[in-house]
Amino acid sequence: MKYKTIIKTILSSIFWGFGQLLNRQYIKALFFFLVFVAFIGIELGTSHYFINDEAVDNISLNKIPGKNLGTFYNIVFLETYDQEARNGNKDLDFENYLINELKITPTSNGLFSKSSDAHLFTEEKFIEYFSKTIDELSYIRYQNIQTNNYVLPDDWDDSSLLLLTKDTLYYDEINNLYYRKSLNNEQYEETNIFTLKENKNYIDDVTDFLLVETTGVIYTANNKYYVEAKIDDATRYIELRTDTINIEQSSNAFRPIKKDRIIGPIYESNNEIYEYYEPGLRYNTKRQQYIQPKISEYLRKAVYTQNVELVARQNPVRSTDYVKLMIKVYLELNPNIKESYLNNFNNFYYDRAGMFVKGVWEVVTLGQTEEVKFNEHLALTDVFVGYETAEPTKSSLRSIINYEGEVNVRGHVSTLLLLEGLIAIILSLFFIFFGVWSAVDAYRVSNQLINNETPLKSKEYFKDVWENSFEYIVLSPAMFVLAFITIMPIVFGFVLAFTSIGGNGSMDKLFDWVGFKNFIEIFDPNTAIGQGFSIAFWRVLGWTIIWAVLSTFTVFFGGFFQALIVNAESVVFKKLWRTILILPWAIPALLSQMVFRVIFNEGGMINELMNSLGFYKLFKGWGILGQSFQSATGWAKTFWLGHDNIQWFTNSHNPNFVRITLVVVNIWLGFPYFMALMTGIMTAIDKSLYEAADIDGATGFQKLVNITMPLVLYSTAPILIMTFSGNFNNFGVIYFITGGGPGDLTAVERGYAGQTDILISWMYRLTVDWQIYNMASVFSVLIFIVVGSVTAWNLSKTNAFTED
Amino acid sequence: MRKTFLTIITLLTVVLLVACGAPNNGEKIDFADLFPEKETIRVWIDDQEGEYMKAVIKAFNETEAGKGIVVEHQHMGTVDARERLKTFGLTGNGADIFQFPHDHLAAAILDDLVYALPETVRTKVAERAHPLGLDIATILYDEGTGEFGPGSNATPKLYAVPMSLEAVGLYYNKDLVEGDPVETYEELIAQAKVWNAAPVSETDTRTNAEAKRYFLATSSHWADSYFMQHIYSAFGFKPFGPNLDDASKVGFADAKEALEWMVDELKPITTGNNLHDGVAGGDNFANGLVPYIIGGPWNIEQYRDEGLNFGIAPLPSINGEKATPFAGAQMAAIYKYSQNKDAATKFLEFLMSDKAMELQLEYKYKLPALKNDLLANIEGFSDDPFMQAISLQLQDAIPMPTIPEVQYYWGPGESMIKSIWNEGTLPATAVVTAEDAYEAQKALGGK
Repeated sequence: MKYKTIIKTILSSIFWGFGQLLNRQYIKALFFFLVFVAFIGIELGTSHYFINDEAVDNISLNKIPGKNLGTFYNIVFLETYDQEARNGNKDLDFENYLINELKITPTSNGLFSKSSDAHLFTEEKFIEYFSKTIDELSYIRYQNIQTNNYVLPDDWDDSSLLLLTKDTLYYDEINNLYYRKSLNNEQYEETNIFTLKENKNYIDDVTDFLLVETTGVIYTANNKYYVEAKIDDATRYIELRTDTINIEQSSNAFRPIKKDRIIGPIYESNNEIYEYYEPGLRYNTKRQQYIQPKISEYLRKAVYTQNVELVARQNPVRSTDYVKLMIKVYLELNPNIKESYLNNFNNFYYDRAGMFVKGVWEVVTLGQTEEVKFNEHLALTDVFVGYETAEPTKSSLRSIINYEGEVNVRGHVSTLLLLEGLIAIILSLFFIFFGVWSAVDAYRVSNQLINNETPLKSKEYFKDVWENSFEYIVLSPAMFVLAFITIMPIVFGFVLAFTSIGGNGSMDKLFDWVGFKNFIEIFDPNTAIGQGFSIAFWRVLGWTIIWAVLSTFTVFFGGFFQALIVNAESVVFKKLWRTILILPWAIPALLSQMVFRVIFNEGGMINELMNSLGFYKLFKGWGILGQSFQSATGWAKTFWLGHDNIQWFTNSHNPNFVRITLVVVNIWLGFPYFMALMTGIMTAIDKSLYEAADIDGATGFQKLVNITMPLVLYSTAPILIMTFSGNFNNFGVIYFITGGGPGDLTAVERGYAGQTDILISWMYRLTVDWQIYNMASVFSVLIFIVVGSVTAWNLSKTNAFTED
Repeated sequence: MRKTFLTIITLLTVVLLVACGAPNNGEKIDFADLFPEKETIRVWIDDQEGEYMKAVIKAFNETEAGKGIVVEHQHMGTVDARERLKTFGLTGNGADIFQFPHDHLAAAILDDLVYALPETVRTKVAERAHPLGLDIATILYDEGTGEFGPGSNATPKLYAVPMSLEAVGLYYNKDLVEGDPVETYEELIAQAKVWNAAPVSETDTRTNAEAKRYFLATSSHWADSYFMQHIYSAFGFKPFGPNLDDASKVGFADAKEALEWMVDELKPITTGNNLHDGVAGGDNFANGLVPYIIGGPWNIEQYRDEGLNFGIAPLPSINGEKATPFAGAQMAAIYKYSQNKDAATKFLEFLMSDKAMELQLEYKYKLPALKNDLLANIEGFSDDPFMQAISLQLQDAIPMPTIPEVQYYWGPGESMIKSIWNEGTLPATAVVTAEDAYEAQKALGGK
């Protein structure tokens, strides 16, 4: 009965331990089941799957900084309303709403705040009613600024003229013409004072004309309307009409009054002046405000009472919370924006899913929601804090509440998501291991049962596992820790190569998977990255390989010969020499690297020494020193060392010279290690081999080539390869001695790579200085491939390891 | 024995647990209703010893606005602060207020770290701050489109509060300069030629030039655009156009004349045949070996410690044109995602007060970023010749460009001077390369 096995296996892989239950192995079933419960438990425990609908709705709103005002509405607000109502300042519409919609019956003295149903007036209800009243008042229209009559957009006469009330004009006094800067070119076009002209002339120069700057600020006097203007730095008022130009000056007879609530576009229609009104419209840097409903006055008075008059008794309304209310009302007024906000910031996977489901979502999508900035709620400033001018003190909150400023809600941050996701996935893999085990076990036991074999009893089975896999069980805690402290960071760095992370701010914003795009780009010189980077990459890679090979061999054989010399029988004071020669190794590499940088400086010790020893004279004679690179010719150009001094590490015209210097310096830094190592090996070589060779009449050279070298190489070959990998990534020598230079390290067209940069130091600069994380990761992947494969291949071929 | 012990322990634990749970019958006491919350803000300001900030915080808590606010100071280097905030901020461990030098403002904005201060704060700051400081911290921003730079709906936004101002000046060693310091580069160059050719001393026959003791030094290197701006200004070059805010191009082409002058006149007297950074000029001046250096207020402490008898003079003019340097500033800003913006704003405003500025001058020896007429109220300012000199130099300074794209100016600018200085590239070629490099960087940064 094969299908039974299959069913058990499937069941066991879905519901761990179920197959075992069917196999009647109860302890084993319990074991798997407990792991399963732990797995699901973590998932559910970290989730918000089962919260109520109201909480779900609030997830996104809770991300706006600030708190709800809580009982402010039914206590403070209603108390204030009652107070106002007693003073004859009633709002019948609002009372209707309270009584009919919310079913709040006022007490016998007409107090709503003392009603037993007052608690029904919640923030939600307040926002609903408040927004509705604002919305009803603030419709789009053309408002006649003289008569306050209005025209709806549908009835608006399209032939009316838009007046440009904020502009810079140049007035030609002689010809009585106005000019303004043309938008399309550098010229100036003829214009009317408020409107554009058809069939206009263009001129090139306006230097002698009078500068007329209209400011867009509207004034009124004698029932006429004017716009403020600066003419030759004096304030003048130009009447808003297109048929004649009437410029006034403030005087006893003419006292204009500022109309600072008129901020929208101004139209002229049938010789009447209209302001176009649309709440939230930004025009000439100002925002058109929603219109204050009556109820807004109670709100402001309530906050004023709370914050100023009752401050000792109760908690004042905090600015952040009040601004949050503004945003909520703003969202209520703009259902589309509200919906998209609620959708984006209430992401099922991000906000509610448990650790493992969220983890998978995080890694797959890398986040979806961009940050949001709220500015437009400031169109409610008049409503929430009162008019800028002419607002009574008790209803003006301008100096009490910090209402201004952008409100930011952070979106998803891909770096954090990726990190969290990887942790969750790695952890889940440990659990899934048990799931697979459970399925495999169910399958095997079931098969055994079908074939009438007796499967091991649970207890015996675990004993068997304990005995046979003891080493794995003991190692498992280490594996667990290793997975998080070693594997997770490596994977994180690795996968960045396949994302679009890079550039300012990329660390705390969204980025996306881009597949192999980065890899393709660096090999394609036609892309933005490729232009500089593809060429730089090959140059840097080439030098990295040459550097790794050269530095390894020089150091290796340098150490080898030094060891030979020190070990030679004719050398006296062996121990002394050995101690002295080992010293460079004993000094921290960083220090000696810095010291080298200083002594090879242009004005450094080496140069002074060379000068006093007469080398300078010699070099100057050859022309490779003492003249500028431009004036050098022929061979002197190829071997040019410097102008006044030898530029050991800064010679940008002859980078190969710098590279050679670097290799030589590196010998000093690296050979003692090999010398010490090989001295040890040489002393361990069986003396009888040499004696036998002596008897056979071998020369010293033959002994070296046929005995010493093979034996030493045999033992040190793996280390040679390790050193190769080490030098491939020898960050310190490059970074601390030349810093990657010579060459321009700030030039993007050279991929920010200097002449002596190796991949690792280049990577460092790309991440730390230029934030090009994805490219740096691409290079690290490539380094890994090169170093990893060379090392692996070599080690597998090396005798010392294969015989292990 | 062991069993009894365990039993006792268990019993004790149970009793303890029960005791803990007992008294409250599920009644919740909300202390928030009884005591107004004390807000805590964290500030990252460069102050190693912490004494300066301790004094500032103490003074702040004595003011009306700062009474209920707990300020927690953590020392953070001004350059580090921005870098750290990028990661610390994400996890909620960042600062509410952080400090950075002028040239980091653009990057900080691009990195999404800075909160644009409300208009009322801007008005308040504008009343007290030195106009240059205000300019350096203000950017035109259009809230609707999210774009920086001029536009019909762009309004000036203040992103940070300037704390101290600085500008480079001509620092001279009074022991080596006879009479008044030079006023023009022409004078300076003529004197430099004599000095550079003179022997180091009676015993040392090398010339000053050979000993790398060039007459005029710089405390940075000669390819640093911030230091070289005074030369650019004299030749009429400003990055990003006359208003310093046209991001479409830097306009390197206008720098050609200045570059030619640098190669022909400046290079021979300052580094000779050496690289742009081939002369250790800063050390030379600090050791009293050379008479002049282009330095900044940040050097004063070192020169004083060295016991140097020095003075500060205005930068010399070139061909009769004034050499106006960039004004720089240390500024403090609010973290964009700070949860305590209210309290942070109060502290930021306090940093502009006379008291805080006085403490800054006393502990950090920095020129307060206040309007000139307000400086008189600052104790310790009027009788300080260096502060007066820096203040004087600032009158001729131009504000740094603030558009975020300035971030992409420094690299190409430096490469440009390096190439003409070190590699003999023709200025005409170098300016074209630099403009291309700016474009390329901008494209790379904006992706």
